[in-house]
Amino acid sequence: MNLDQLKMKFFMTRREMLKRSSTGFGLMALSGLMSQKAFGGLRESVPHFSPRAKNVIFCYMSGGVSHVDSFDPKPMLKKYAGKPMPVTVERTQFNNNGNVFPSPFEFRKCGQSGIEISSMFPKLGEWCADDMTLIRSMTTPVNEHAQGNYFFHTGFPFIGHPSAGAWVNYGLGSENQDLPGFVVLQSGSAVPPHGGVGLFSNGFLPAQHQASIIRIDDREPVASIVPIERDAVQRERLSFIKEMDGQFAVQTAGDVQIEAAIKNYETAYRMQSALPELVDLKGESEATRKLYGLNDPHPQKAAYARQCLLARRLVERGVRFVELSCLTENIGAGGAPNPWDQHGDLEKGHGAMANQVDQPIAALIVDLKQRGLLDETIIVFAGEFGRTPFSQGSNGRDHNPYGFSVWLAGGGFKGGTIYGATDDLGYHVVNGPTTVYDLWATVLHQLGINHEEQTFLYAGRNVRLTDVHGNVLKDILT
Amino acid sequence: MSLGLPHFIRILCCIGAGLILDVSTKAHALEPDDIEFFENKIRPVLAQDCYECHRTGKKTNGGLALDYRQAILDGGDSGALIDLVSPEKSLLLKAIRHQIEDLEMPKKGPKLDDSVIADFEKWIRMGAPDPRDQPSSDEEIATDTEWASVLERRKSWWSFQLPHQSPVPAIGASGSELPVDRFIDATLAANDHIPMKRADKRTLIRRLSFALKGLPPKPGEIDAFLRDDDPQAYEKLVDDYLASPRFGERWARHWMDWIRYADSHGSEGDPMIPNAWRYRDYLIRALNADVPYDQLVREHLAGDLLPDPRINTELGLNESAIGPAQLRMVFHGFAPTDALDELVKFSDDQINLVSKAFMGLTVSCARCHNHKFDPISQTDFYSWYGIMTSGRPGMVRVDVPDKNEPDVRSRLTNLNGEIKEQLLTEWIRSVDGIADRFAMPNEDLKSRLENGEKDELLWPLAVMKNDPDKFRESWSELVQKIDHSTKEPAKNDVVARWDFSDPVDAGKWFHRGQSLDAPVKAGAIILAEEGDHVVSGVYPSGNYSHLQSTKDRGVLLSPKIALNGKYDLWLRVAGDGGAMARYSVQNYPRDGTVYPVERLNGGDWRWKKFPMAYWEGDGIHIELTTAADQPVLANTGATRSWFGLQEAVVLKSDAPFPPAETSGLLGLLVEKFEGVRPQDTEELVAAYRDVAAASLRSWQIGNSTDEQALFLNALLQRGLLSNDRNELASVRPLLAEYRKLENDLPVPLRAPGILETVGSDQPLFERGNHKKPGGLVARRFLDAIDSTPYQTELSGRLDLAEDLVRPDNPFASRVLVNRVWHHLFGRGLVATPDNFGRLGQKPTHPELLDYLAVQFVETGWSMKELIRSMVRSEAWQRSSDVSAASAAMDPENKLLAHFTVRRLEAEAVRDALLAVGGKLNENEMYGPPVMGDAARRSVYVRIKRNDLDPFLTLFDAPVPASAVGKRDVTNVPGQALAFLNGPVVTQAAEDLADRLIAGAAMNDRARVELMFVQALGRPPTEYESDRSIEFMADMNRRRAETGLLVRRLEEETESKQNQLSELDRKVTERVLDHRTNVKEVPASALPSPIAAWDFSVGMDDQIGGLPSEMFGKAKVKQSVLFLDGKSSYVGTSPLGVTLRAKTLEAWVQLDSLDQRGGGVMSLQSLDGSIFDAIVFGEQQPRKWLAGSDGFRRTTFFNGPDESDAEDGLVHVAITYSEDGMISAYQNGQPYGKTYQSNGPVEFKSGDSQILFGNRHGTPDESRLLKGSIARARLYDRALSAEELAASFRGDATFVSTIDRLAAMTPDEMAALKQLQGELEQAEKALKALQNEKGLPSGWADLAHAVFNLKEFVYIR
Repeated sequence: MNLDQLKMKFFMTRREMLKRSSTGFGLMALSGLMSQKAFGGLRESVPHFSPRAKNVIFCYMSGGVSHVDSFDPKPMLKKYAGKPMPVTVERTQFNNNGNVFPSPFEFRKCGQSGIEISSMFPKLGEWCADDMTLIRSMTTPVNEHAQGNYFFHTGFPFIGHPSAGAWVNYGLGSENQDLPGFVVLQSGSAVPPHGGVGLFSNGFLPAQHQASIIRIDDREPVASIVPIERDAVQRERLSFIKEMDGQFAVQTAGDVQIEAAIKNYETAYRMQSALPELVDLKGESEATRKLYGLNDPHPQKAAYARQCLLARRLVERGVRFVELSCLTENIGAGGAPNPWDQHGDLEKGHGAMANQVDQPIAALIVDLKQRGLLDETIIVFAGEFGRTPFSQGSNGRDHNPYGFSVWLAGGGFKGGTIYGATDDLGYHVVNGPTTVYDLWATVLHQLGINHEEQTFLYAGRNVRLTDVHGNVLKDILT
Repeated sequence: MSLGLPHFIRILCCIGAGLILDVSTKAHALEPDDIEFFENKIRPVLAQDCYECHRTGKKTNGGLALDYRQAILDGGDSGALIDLVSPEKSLLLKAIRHQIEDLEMPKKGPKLDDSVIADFEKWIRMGAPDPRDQPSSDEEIATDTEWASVLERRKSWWSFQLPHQSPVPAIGASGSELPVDRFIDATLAANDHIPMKRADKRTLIRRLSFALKGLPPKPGEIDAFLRDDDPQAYEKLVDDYLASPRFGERWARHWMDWIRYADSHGSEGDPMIPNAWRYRDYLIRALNADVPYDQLVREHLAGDLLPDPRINTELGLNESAIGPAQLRMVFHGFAPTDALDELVKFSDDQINLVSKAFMGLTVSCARCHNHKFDPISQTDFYSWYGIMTSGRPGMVRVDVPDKNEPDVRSRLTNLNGEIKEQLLTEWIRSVDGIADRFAMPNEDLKSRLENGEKDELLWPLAVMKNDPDKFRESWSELVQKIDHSTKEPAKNDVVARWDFSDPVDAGKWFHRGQSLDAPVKAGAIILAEEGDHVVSGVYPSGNYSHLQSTKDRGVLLSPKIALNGKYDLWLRVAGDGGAMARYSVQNYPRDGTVYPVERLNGGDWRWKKFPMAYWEGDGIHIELTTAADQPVLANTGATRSWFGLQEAVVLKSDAPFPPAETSGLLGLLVEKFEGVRPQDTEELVAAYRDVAAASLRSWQIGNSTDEQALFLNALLQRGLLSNDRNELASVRPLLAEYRKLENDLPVPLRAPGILETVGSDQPLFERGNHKKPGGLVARRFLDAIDSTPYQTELSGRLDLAEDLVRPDNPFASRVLVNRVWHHLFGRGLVATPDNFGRLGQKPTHPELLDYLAVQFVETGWSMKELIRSMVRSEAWQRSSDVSAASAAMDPENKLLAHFTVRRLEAEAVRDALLAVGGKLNENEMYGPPVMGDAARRSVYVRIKRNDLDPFLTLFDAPVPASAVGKRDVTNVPGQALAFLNGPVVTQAAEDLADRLIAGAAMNDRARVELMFVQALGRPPTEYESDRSIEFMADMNRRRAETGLLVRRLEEETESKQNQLSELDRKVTERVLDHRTNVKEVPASALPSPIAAWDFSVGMDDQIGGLPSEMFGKAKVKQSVLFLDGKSSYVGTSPLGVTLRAKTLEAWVQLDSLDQRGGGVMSLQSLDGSIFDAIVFGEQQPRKWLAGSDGFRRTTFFNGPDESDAEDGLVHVAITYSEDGMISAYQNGQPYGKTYQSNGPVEFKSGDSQILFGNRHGTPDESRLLKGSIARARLYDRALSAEELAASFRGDATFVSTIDRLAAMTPDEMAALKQLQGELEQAEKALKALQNEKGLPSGWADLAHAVFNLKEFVYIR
């Protein structure tokens, strides 16, 4: 069809109109015009090199997990218990610094590898120690939540840059046309961490790379996803709209944007049924439900378990990047946006938070493994910073950006490995200092993306997730 | 022509390449011209763009070095670099022309300028003359890459040249005389493109209305325009629209994109930027008034400093002063531990914004090193950093004092003096009477004396009277304390000190406000603005914000203080109304953990200590503000507050200081006794009087000390000096005049801004690391334009403001012209409106851009004129039809052969929906931000950084992070979902339908036409009209179908329920038959009720036949009374007996154990006010309760949580005995504790009734029960525990579900299962239908569909 033919004016007969709509005007005209798939913004470019993994599940521990109580045992803290810190204490956010505060949790060697994990995370220790790549030397330049969250998500401490999930989605495109490529899950009372939904933003990347937040317990898990009427009625409405649009599309000579907008209605229509099917966990076996803790009497744990199980369903469906959201237990300053933030009552607060996520995340790893998906899925477990080895007040801990632990699993990461170390007090990194840039550089690398090559021209600079930094941590890769 | 070596080479080339190397390596005798060409054109490019990666010995990427001749000739891994035989084939040229994939050079940089590429080509043709024999040394490289030479070369970039006025081309294909068209036509002609004809009038008015007003044209406007045959009709329309107030709202939103407007600061806590909206309103007014652009730019940087500000006399506003609010739209982290880092971040944000928005340059890119591509040095960044950090975030006053205000103020000062005179006379006259007042105290003073041990002034009197022994002890302590009090800190503990009785000290601080100009001497009075008191106090020397009025604002700022050690800050302050005192670290304006704030309330003086050891090494300033004047914490609703400051001291940490507070008032008294202890109260009273008299004498001659002023104030506050206007006849009229004048003083209007103090240069941070400060950088403009340091004591903002619009700044007009072009044509002449640097795009029509830029300045920087010149052009009015040639050759429509189809911006989408729906409140302009559900234009919707409006965000409203000259235009399914299912659109559709139906009577066809015109600006085609009517009919049919479906499903559920009831009944009968046969319980053994209900038998009481009535959806099915908790309950006719003691008994099942407050069975007076009832989960969840009117007879039973009532019937009974004891029973067992009530209450015969399912009175959801009741009984006495156990056990006619299930045959069981399954399915389907939101009418359906047409959001 040439453009002059397309330029027919108002004189189409009804028969012609119907013919056009029945052949799916949008679809027909779109073939060849659409350069982007609905969500993924699929780029034609192939990965920079052969990818080891396809998906990322980001277990974000908002508020900051204490490394000296979880993954980084420090017997020295017992020796100095109750005494002033034997080294200079840096500025803390609350400036209410107490003395050395040994961990109230017990560490034990886990798995074949003998990685030491505390009693906070019994199931992770028992089921997954040999799958974990533990980085005990993470650092961040930021000492407050919102900026720390932005830094961890986007490589920059303020709103406006793309989230890691958006970068991944931009780089690899989506495998599923009916689902967004970057999903943030929330259940129960979960809310975005401090800094708000901008943490999941596409920044300056095209908008289709932004996260879709799925509130899995809501009647309307995604805004406006529930049709206002039953299918038969909606189809009639859609077919009328499409027919009427046909004329405008002809008048605008097959303008690409208008064709894409027409096409969006088809995608939107499909999403209406894809989403409820996705979040419906009824079909999962009793064994699976039990594995994750879906029926756990503790409501927050059961809610987090639902996210973990859904994360598996999402990666099964080709969603690239899934971020999970912790729920508050309302202990020791750990509010809804920063549930791990135990400036007080650390033992109780961290105990409850760990109980919330331990079994569900361990189950997710086990389940992915059983299904052969762990190899191609990277699990990232991290909070925005660690916590001080000395107390805040009597029984809390303040923020510690100078050295803390994060861990990864699956996707070609060496299981049962420890990388880097903090000093004897768990305060500063002394060995293998690692940055958030390094973490993302390595994750991108596993996905087949060279973090230095994946750039976007913005504000006069070729900007990337890792700013001008970042080294791939080759030592922790298989 | 000499036959120099290059020419020789050229000749040789023709002979054979073999010789070339041999000859060319001998480079001794290059011609001077060749050398000059190489040195000028080639070497700088090689050095600045290539050496970094291609250098001998350092980095030789791809095995290639370019730093000397032989290396170039050798080439690299990819082969020979230059081909002297066929220069065109040279790899070097292909690489810099980006002709080889993955070998585009310079890597990661912009493509070299075409002229540079041409130079290389020429150079190779010349034989690649190159004088460099040896690899370049580091020194040579350093020289070659020296900034000055880089800068010079980069300055040749097009945008750094001044706009050049080219001759306007001849009239072209469009026939238009307008210069815009002649430029565009010329380019079209040069490319053999034929422009499209003008669009039709309907298309034009819609296009223009959205472009200038951001709203669709109204049907009346369209009609008038279509009817207007005047050849100038379009021009008139343009003028009308430019004059519309809607214009300012539309274009202010564009401007807000450029300056990243936000109402909050973001980050944790996301605090609002108080009064940010005044800036938005300022933009709207400025654009409507067509304030010259250069003026607005000056205002944006330094409107508060302009010598001749722009005054809005109508609103009494200093408009100019609002401009700098844009500098405050920055992010602020929450309680950052590294305050300097935070300062760098937000100053960087300001620099980034200003350079991008007003110059299209990315100065921020030069924070860590010189700009990679543009002539912007790192010192440029730090020169601006010095300007930005010299100012302090603050609240500025933006209203203008009334012209009478100086007179009013001088009168206020005089009145203060006159009243002071009167008071002085009166107080001196009455001072001897103080003793009498002690002798015959008024009520207040009496209680102070009686309980006066804690009264700071009077405790000696009180203690002496009550406990002479204790008095001796306390007095000695006092004397000792005063003797030893540290009034002066140790000299070497003092880091800095300001005494505000000393004008010299006070003069070192910076202030804003009406009365902080100079400190006052001790003894100042401040008049009370209301009440019977004449003055609010007598004050010691110091600086006060409220000498004339507590409405006056006050901001008091110290100079910068470097914390070179561990220090404490001490402030002697008083204040009220939420004024604030704090120190700001590195200009950080928020509060939070390590950023304490002292809020001043109550007016008492205190020494406030701020430990600052934590901030050792940082820089701070001290900040005192009235409540509405703190930059972030301001309480914008606070109209009155004040503070006073006597002294500020910075001391070494924990140095002993200050004197104990309590000694303050009594120092003079103690002095009076000269070490001798007073013996009796008389002596003490006399001393008070003497000190008062002495203080008054000092006061009279203007010579008060602070102690005397405080003493007088203390007497005053305790009624010992007269302060009642009723007692002071001479003061009264003066006070009345003061109050009248004070009351008329305006409450100052404030806007976010920058407070100027004193400028200081800042160091350059090496590699951007703020922990590595280098040398100081002078504050100045950009190197590339003018590197002269600013000669100013101030920040330099004003100088920078002037530089941004100075005539030799080539960006000033070009950038704005291009921004406007972008918004009107959909693509800027420079397609990257925020970047005119090397990474930006070059202009498609450079002569036109320059022409417009020059014209813009010549027409007085008028934005309206500029817009007019664009929208009046033929180019803008062209049809959006695309010619085949254009589609093929210019798919992006850079040449503007036609109009480019565009989607409306988010705000226009939302505004159009509201406008067409008829709900838009168009005439309400300005004011604080509103939420997205308000019927106001989107420009007024709140922009809270962490909580952006979801609808606007979905349609690409920008995240306020940086200048956005060009928004994203995305196409995502979420947009389709929002239009299909979202509330914004469905609501607008309903509104439009309502509006049409409520409007003038007309037939359907006319109505359809009106709808199309309103929404799309055009009538429907006949076909569209037919189809629309058909569609509405279809949708109405669907709605009817839904109604039928609902009814069918209702019938089906009812039928299934009936069948289940029948099955139940059958089984129940069988069970009962069986029971009768075995005679389990003799019925005679059971207590006799006075009324009983078995709902399987009937609704009326089965003993006395008391009739009852069902309300709401109450119904009997499956043998029980069903209550839905929403409207259903049952009430009986009045009882025929009077009841005091009683028992209520019921068999009940609950739908949910989580329900709250539902009544099962109530006995109530007919008006519902008095009742006794069985209530579930009211005060506590899951507990049974004896409910009564206002809990009068109710106490907790403290029984266990109910857990069975969801699964089957439970038996609940409450007994009320004659002696007031109330007991409860559940399933025959006592439930919790029996308790004593003040009952029983009497329910009179004929005035009481029984309710089922309602607690009492008028039914509402909080009182209604959700569940079912099988049976109930009422007794006229309190049954015993045994009787209730028997009643529970022995209810021979009660058959539980469990009983029934046990008695069912397999067939019956199967039937039950099937019926239940079918019922569940039918109910589910019914619920789904009932939950459908749908749309209420065919008209709403059609309106919804019309909104969903792409034509609604795409403008052509």
